[in-house]
Parts: sequence; C-alpha cells; structure tokens
Amino acid sequence: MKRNTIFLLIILLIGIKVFGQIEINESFSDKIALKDFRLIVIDPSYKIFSPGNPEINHYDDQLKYQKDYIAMLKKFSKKNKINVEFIFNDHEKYWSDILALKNSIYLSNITQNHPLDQKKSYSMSFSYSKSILINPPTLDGAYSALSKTFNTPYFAICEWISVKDASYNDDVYSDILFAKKNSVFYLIIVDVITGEVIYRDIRNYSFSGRTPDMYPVIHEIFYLLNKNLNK
Amino acid sequence: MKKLYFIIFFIPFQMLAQNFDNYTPIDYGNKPPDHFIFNPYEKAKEYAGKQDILDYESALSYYYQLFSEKQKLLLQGDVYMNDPLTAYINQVCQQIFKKNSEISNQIVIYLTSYPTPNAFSLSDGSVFINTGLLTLLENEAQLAFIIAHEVAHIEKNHSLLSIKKMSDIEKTEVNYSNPEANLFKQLKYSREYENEADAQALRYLMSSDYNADLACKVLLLFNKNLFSDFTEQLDYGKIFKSDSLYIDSNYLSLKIKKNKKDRFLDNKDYDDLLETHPDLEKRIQALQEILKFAEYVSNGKSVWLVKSDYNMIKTQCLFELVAKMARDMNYGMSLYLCLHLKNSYPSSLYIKRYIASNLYWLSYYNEIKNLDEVLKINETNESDEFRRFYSLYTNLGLKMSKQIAYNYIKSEIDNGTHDDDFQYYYALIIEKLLGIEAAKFMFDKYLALYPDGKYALTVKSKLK
Repeated sequence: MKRNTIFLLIILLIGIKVFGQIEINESFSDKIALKDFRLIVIDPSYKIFSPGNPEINHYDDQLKYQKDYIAMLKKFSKKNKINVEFIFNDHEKYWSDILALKNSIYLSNITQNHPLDQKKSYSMSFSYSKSILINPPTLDGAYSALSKTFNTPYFAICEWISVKDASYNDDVYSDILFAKKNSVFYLIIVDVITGEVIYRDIRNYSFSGRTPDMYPVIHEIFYLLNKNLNK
Repeated sequence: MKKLYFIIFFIPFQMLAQNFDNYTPIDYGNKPPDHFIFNPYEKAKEYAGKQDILDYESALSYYYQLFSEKQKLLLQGDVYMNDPLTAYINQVCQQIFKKNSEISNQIVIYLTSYPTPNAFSLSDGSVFINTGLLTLLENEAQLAFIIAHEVAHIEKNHSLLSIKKMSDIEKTEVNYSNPEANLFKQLKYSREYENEADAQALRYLMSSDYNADLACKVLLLFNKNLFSDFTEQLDYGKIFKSDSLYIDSNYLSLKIKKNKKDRFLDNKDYDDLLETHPDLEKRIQALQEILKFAEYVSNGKSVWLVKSDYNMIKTQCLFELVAKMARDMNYGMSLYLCLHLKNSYPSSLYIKRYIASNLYWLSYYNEIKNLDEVLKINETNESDEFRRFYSLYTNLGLKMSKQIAYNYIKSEIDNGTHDDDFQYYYALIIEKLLGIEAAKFMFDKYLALYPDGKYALTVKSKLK
C-alpha cells in the first residue's frame, strides 16, 4: 500500500514536471466560429538549436520532425473542429504580404504586452497602466486586405523550438522566448480586420520535442483553443 | 535599331528615376526568385566537396550553417529582389571586373533593407549590402570599393582559412592561464584578412575605370552612422504646432551603453586589439602607401560609370529606410528620419504619411508605457541631434504625445492633404485623444471618402 502511494506520487510529480508548465494561455476575444472560418497558419516551423555547440548539424532531424509536427497540427486541429490551412513563405502570390504579416505579429507581441517579460509585469503592478495587461497587442490595420484575399480574418503564427545543449546561452532564439527549458512552443492568432491579437498560447517544456513528446502537447493546444475560442 | 539601343540603355536609369514627392516603395514582387529556394544540406555537400582547405566533415558543417543562414536571410523578407537598386549595384560590380568577367560571373550582390551601415560576403559568392551603408556613401567609386573589398574576401577564401587557422590553434596550443588567448589570436587573423582584402580591393579598382584614389576614401565614412549627417536643429514647436514643447537640457548626457573596448580595457589606450577590423586610420594609411608604391595615376579615371547622380540612390535608400524602420516598429527613428527628409521634400505625401502613422504609434506605445521599445538610442542613431529629439519626445508626457500627433495630422488635412492613411490615422488619434464617440464621425467620414480604402474593413469593425 505504502509502495503504491509512493509510486503514485512519483507518477504525479513526473506528470506535473512534463505537463504543468504552461506559461501563457490567454484569449482577448469573444468566442468565434473557427470551424466555419479558416485559420490560416503562416509558415509553421520546427527548429532545433544547439547554442552550446552551434556546429552540430540538425538538418535531417529538423526535416523529420517538421514533417511530423505539421502532420500533428493538421490532425489535432481537425479533431478539435478547427479549420486550419497552412501557407508557407514561398507562397506564389502573396509572399511579401504574408511575410510582413508574420513579422508584424511577432514584433507586436514582443514590443507590446510582452508575454514573458516578468521584469515588466512586476513593475507594472505598481506604476504601469493596466491597459497593457488587458488590451491585446495591436497591428497596423493595413493587413485587413488579406482577409478578402484569403476569405478569413484569422491568421496565426506558430513554431516549435527545440533547444539542445542550452548551457552556453539562455537567450537562444530571440527576446520573445527564453528557452530555459528544452522546448518552446507558441501559437499566436490575430484578426487582421480589427488588427488585434485574439488568442495566444506560449509554453516551455523540459523535454526536447521528439515526435512522442509533441503528441500530447499539440493535442492539448488545440483542445484548449477549441475550448477557449471556438464557438 | 537605334531605337532599341536607346531602350536598352535608358531603361535601367529610367527605373531608378523616382519622383520623391509621390514616392512608390520598392515592390518585393509576388514570388521569391527560384534561386532563393534551395536545400541547404545539398548545397553544403556540393561546396564541401569542392574545397580543399578543411576536412570534408568540418567543411560540411561550415557550409550547412552558411546556407541555412543565407536561406533564412533570403526568405525573411529583408532582401530586395528584381528591383532597380539591386540591378544598379550588380552593374557596378560588372564595371569593376569588366576586364575580368570570370570573377564577376561568380558574384551575386543582394541589397538588404537593414539600416546598419554594413556589408558582408559569404564564401559561396554572395555579397550582402545594407541599405544603411548606401546612404553614407558619396559616390559610385566608393560603392565599388566596398564591393571589391567583399569580393576579395571571397576570392581569398578568408572564411575557410580563418576556421582552419583557429582549429589548428585549438588542436596544438594550450594556454590555461589566459583563456581568451585564442580569441585575441582570432581577432589578429581577422584584422590581417581585412588588410589583405583592402589591398586586393585596391588592386581590383586600380585595374578598373574607377578612380581608386578617391574610392578608398570610403573608409573615412566608417566612423559615421545613419544620422551623422542630419545635424540641422529642427524647430519641433513649429513642426508640431505647439509652443510648449520642452527639451531637457541634459539631453547630451544621454549616452549609449559603454562599448566593449571601454568595458574590457577601462578606457585605456587599446589600439585595435579587440577589434575584428583594423583601426581606420591605419587602413587608410596602408592603402595610400600601396597607391604611392604602385605609382598609381588617377587621371582619366572616374567616380561615376553606371550612374552620374548618386544622390538619387541615396535618397531612395533613405525613403526605403523610413518604411523599413516603421515596419520593424522603430517608430522613433522612422519619425526622426521623416522630419529631416521633410525639409528637402516638403510636399512628399509618402513622408507626410509616415510622420502621421509614426506619431500615432509612438503615442500608442507611450500609452501602454512601452515607449522604450520603439524609441531608443543605439549605435545606429546616436548623434547629438537625435539625442535632442529623444529627450524631447520622452519628456512629452502622454497627453502631449497624443496632442502633437493630432495637431500635425489635423494641420495637414486642413492644408488640403487628402489621403487614405491620413483620414484613418486622424480618426485613430481622435479615438485616442477624445474617445470613440468623437472618433465615430471621423470613421464615418473615412468610409464616405474611401469606401474601398485599405482600412475600410478595419473602420467598419470599429463602427460595429
């Protein structure tokens, strides 16, 4: 009996370590019918970094996991009734517009309401305007034309960053995400008509991001997206 | 036939000719060129097999990193393509190597939209030149020197050689008492390669029709930054229609962070010991010695071979940088550049548009207390005049920052500037300053004036 309790406790602790590390999961919008509209995901990518040993070549792994990752995104979005379409940065017609939107979503998230800037959050509680915590990051309204082109106002960027050998430098990718753990994932959805971020999910995990590791995470991401945003 | 020559000869120059009062930014095109998309690993294997400086595995690793970075750079939307500026710099390259087309055929020059004055080359024959560098140059021969210098790095295989040297040092030498010894050695080799590239660039230019004597003076410009030439003190009170703008008298003390040489050697005499590039004075002196030794005669040589008016190129680059900075949310720098360009191009709608949008976004960031994200002093913009502007804006206060945006946009509209962007930002700033109810009239007006405007959908959603 005693042994079983200890065993259960260990399992529970492992579970907390693996799954209990959501950093940000927030919605800035009322629920919307994502199953009727399409959610255009721009250039979903899987990246591997070895900042401690930059000479290591991860090309084969990166290709393999990128393929698995996109397949998983497709599978779990469908399972959770979210109509997702992927476009890549070699898109025939609207290449530069898409890239500009992608950069703009990313930059607006790191310059406004910085998701992981703890230093700012602390000082904010005393002297900063609360609007930064309540209002969504906002982009230029000029991207609204893309909603006509793609027949949907909802666009997203999402990326899985797997960090190996991070001892050399903590600030691996850029200032949006501090890869203290081995894997970082983010999904940020904007409504290009209002120019506002409507949903974001950003997490760190202490595992490297192999296919079996990604499986429950991607499932959970779309499950939560469906629960929190999908009408 | 004569007509055909006329067309072939004049099209490139015509493409460069821009009406800056009605400037249209460079279009990136609908599709990336085929040579932008490649498999980095396959390319790395091809190049690793061709070289004999490193062992195959090290070369493969080096080239894989190189091609991955190159592809990332090409596909992130910061490299111009199929545009007249890129065509121009490639034409300059062809002029340098007119008598040696074997070299120019291996080189592809890309223009990036970055404001930092810099150029770099990759050992596969690609040269990247930042738009910010083009704005500092004074003539075409100086551009030719920059290109020749980068080509020299490629021709002399400097990247591979430096990796080889470092790996040899790491294998054979041990110095536990000074763990930074290898770094110092690496920097020493780096400076040697820079000197070698300078000398080789000079040789290339001496055999071309460019004036090599004047071209190498480009090194004198390397101490400048993007805003060094914008020294005129602007009357911000007049520009923003406000008498109460206050400039903090301590603005000159707003220094950027200490640089690395100060940190390491505590302001003592350091020469160029910690630099990747040699001291500029030494570089210029060395080149003058070479010219003297070679008994170079510059008579009959020119600083213009492809295009005779470099100011046009410079201005176009500055106009492009305005957009790039705004795109990268460097609204402070973009606004500052616009205000100075407005002196020379007072009726440019493009500039007025960016002043309006930059003022709006600065007030937006001021409101969310994140102004330091979009207005900061760094090495690209540090100058007394920029510090004055920085001091002025950061001391404005929230209400005043909205007020000056409102004042500026309103005065432009009152003076007859009719434009989609102006009307939209006018409504937005009214929303910020006076609230949504007052702004609704302006959003309605926008829809009445521009029912199919680029902000029409956003405006409709605001009215809902």
